[in-house]
Amino acid sequence: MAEQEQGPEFFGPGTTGRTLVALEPDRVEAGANALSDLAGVSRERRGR
Amino acid sequence: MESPEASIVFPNLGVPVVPASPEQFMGIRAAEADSNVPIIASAPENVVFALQEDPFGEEEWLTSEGEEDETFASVIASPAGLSMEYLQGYSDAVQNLVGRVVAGEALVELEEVIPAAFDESQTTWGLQVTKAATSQFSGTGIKVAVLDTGMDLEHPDFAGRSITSRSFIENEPVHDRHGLAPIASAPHAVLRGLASFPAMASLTPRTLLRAKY
Repeated sequence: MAEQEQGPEFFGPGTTGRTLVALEPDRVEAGANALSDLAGVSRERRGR
Repeated sequence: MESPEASIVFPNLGVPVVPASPEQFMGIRAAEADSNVPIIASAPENVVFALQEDPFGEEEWLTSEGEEDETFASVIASPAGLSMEYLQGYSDAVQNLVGRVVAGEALVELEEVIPAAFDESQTTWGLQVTKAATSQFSGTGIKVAVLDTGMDLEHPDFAGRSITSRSFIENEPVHDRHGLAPIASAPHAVLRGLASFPAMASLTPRTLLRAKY
């Protein structure tokens, strides 16, 4: 995960290396798919 | 806190939180401008602590011999790593209040306990503390999203605002005429005094109490 460890340094102090993304409310599924392609992350679907 | 490697999706909010390299972040940002991609906005996840978890730095808890420094032992043992200075100040304030009550003085309201360091005739203390009142920025075009248990949509401070609201709780409206929860909540305190900034912000309150988001 060396690439991701650059995240906080790139984004600045206090950042985690993760990105919050707001999707269009009526197109969440399509947005999640697009995000998966862009960020190259698996879609683990869960809430807190 | 979730591991930075973990992805989180809040399906009802339509907000995923994903690990992204700088290159991936730039790709997401670029996609915002593409009308075919249903991504509205993105921002780095930022964590802010009201109090420092480690006020001295871990290495300073050790002596030159590598042993634990007794000076900081009490800090390590204190809740959430709060400094003795902070705890002493808190203790003094509580003892002062208790002493006044025991002496027969009426329990004063919190606003009276706080020194009158803020002249709120023009702006609230919150706007002064955050320096919003003297900021060079007007807030023009900024959208403010509020996640709370409800909001008094008829509050005078919100008059003339563009408000888009949504409740995530079935059969429970966003508007809370009683105003108990919102008045006691930080977001309401932050929003108080927005009337001082005519150009600032449209509002997007979301009711979340008991909601799975």
